[in-house]
Amino acid sequence: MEATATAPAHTPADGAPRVLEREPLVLNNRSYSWITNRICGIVENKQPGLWWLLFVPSVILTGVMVFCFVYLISTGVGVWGQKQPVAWAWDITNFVFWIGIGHAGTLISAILFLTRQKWRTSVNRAAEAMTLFAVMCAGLFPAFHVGRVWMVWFLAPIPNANAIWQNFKSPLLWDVFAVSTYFTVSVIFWYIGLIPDLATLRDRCKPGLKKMLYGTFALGWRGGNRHWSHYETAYMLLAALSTPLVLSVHSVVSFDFATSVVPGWHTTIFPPYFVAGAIFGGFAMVLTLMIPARKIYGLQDLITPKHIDNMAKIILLTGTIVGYAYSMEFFMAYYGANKFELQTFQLRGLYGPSTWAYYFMFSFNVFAPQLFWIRWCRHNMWMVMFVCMCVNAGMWFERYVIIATTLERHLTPGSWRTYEATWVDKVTFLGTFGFFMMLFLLFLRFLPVIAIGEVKGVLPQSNPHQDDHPETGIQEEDLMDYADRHVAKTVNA
Amino acid sequence: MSHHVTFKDLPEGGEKFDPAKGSKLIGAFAVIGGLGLVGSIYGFVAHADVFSYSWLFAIFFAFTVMVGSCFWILLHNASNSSWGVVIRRLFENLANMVPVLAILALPLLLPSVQSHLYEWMNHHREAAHHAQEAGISVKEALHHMAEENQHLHVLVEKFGYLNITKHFVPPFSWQTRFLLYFFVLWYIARHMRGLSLRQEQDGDIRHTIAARNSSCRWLFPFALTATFASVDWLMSLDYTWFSTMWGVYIFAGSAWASMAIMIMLVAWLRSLGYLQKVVSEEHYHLMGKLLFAFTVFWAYIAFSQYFLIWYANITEETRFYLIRNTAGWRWVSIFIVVGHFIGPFILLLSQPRKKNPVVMVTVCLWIIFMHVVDMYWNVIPERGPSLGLGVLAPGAIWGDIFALMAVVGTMGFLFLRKLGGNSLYPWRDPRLLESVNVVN
Repeated sequence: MEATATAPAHTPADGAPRVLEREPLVLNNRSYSWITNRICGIVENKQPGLWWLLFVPSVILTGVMVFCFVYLISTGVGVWGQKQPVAWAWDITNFVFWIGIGHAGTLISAILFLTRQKWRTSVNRAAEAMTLFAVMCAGLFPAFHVGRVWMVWFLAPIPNANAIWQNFKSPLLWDVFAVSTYFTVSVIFWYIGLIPDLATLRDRCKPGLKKMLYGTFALGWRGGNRHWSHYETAYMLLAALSTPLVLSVHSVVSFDFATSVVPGWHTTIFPPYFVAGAIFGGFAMVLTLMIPARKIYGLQDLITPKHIDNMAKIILLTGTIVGYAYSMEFFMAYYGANKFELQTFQLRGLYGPSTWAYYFMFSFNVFAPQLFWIRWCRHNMWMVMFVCMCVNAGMWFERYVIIATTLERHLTPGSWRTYEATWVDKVTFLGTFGFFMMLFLLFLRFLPVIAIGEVKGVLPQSNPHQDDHPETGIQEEDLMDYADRHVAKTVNA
Repeated sequence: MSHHVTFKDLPEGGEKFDPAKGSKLIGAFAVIGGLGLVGSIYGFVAHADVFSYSWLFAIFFAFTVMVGSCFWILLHNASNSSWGVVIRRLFENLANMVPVLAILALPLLLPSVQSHLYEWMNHHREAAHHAQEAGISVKEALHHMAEENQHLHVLVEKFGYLNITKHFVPPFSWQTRFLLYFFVLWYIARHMRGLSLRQEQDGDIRHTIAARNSSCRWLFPFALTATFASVDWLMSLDYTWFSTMWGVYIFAGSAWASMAIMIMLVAWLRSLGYLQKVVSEEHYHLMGKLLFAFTVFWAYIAFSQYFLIWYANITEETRFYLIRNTAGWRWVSIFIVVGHFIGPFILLLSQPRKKNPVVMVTVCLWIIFMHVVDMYWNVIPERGPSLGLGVLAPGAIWGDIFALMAVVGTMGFLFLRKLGGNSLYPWRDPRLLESVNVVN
């Protein structure tokens, strides 16, 4: 990495630095034009071979997914593995898994925006896109689980000739509202954020279809003061609107389970525990996608080790919160002295037929992220990828443990049955990964992966007063003499 | 803020608080504390049964403020924040009142006080007596007792955690944990302020990094402390009740109330002429936003807990809300919904209001009052049924007021007396200027 000096302009008599400087969010003093060219270049240039190498299998897998759903519709829901007492299994597990992943985007965009975390600018666009694609994958499962997917519109409380009256007391119905509202607002939020960048792409295109499309979607953006002012107001309002939505979606998903009287499902900590888990899984997926993307497209100066370090820390925090919730559930199962609740947990974790799933869940979600206590693990991309892969798998197992293994040993021992997934379950789930990847790769191909306008806003040169009151400062890397450096050495510190 | 503040604008050595300047408030706290202590001593002597609950309520209220203060210190350091550097010292000083609180809490260790509060301890003590006579273990004795009285069966199940005998075996006895909770908070408070003060001595920026690392490490023990203290002191008032959300609920209120206290403290210090150059309306705005966030977070947690218990409607869980949703307590419950959430939510929405110290102080006074009501609502409804006095023990509210006066008065007095011991803000913190000049 080329090192360019960030020179402090002023040194006091004693020379000792008194300020701990913030790490730059864009490395190597990149200019506005470099940023525009680098990000737009991804869309404008030919895609690297690796893109095709990933895209083709993704399309094939999407086809396989479509085949599976066609097979399911034509044959019946019986092609999936659920039988009494395990009436919910992989389908709902996959639904909650994908919905959870769909939380990081809006978290990064909205909550980190409201808390003024400027580092979000490099990752929010891709995370939001990922959110939308994950929610799309999620929506498929309950829609097809209803059996007659063509009647899924009965879920909407609209007048119909069949005297269908939606059960407003059911969390499943709230789920429909929560997820669809979340998806709608996330699309709007994502699109509003895209407008200035679409205009940039429009301005760089040669006349033709592309220019017309980018131009249409850029809504006549000219980048005037008034445009920016309206844009920022809208962005702020949408951020404020999205924040409760992020929390509501997974809280409502948790209600699907927690409002029941099923031991192992009914527990009061479920809403915040699900939300923390969703943020956890979502961040892992963001990193899973962004670490290869930054390497392939040469975005290391924009998505810096600092960004990855921050996200790794969030994964550590949320992973530990999830660990707290697991432990609290176990503790209360004991403390509550309800033998059914306690037995459910003993069956999950000690002697049930699927304890392996519980061990996977616990070690992937709670123990693996503990590696992020070590700085080296947060800065070694292979290590970060390893932990993220653990978390991706672990969060799937979490939902599997909650849903399938609980039902395997329901209240009546006479109806106990060990669940086994069929090939359709497995291939459909694999197919959604193809669908997800296909959409994400198309996003990389046609839209700016990083919010160009927002990244420029966090550059030091965007602050007209940056040199007005210099103080002698020092970078943490210089101060602590870390072995791996990312920021240019401060001169005269 | 129009003027950009540099180190040259700030006094070397920071600002020291002169207790003489704040003598009115300090005097008021002394009077309140003195009266409260006299009333409390009378309460313990004359009406120990009723007053034990008053004392627990007052102690737990102060405990939540300590928990909240520790949380804000840890969060500030762990998240590598800068905006709050100018108020961090005040939180550090507030959190260092833990030893005082620990001393005030000592009566809760007395078996005579516990016998009124924790029914399960009475059964345990009886079992211990039988065990000694029969030469068996306490748990076995409890088991024998449960054969006669089926209600006690859960105590046998919970014996591993809920006991007063296993002092040295994890998860320890109630009493050992009691001391452990204070120790953890005290250690956090002392350690964090220690790092901060050392930086003032030697100016070494590395203390900031050390504080960040320690804060990350102490977050987990802190979370366990807040959780299990709430379980031990409040949840076990009714040994049959349980809720996994409980620790989070108590934590949410703690962080909320201690931020409100901080805003009032900052406003008071500024009215005396302190912190003029370092705290701006931006800080009020930021603190107001956090207060708003925790208003919503508390409501989210409180609603989720209530809603899930209401929806599932399982006998083992509903008792907590049943006694709080019937008779006179019903109105308190409704009042909490309105006063703890809806009111502050609406008031804190507007940006100009969050930047206005007068409005913020008014809202914060209300918030602290509501937190008192919330804690009262959590502790006191157990008193009537446990002591067999009906729903409301007549006249007991005076004891509650005296207990609160005693704890708040004593702690407030000692806190302000000791506030002058070091600079009001960490004047050599490497993020000080970032904090002073914050714009959000």
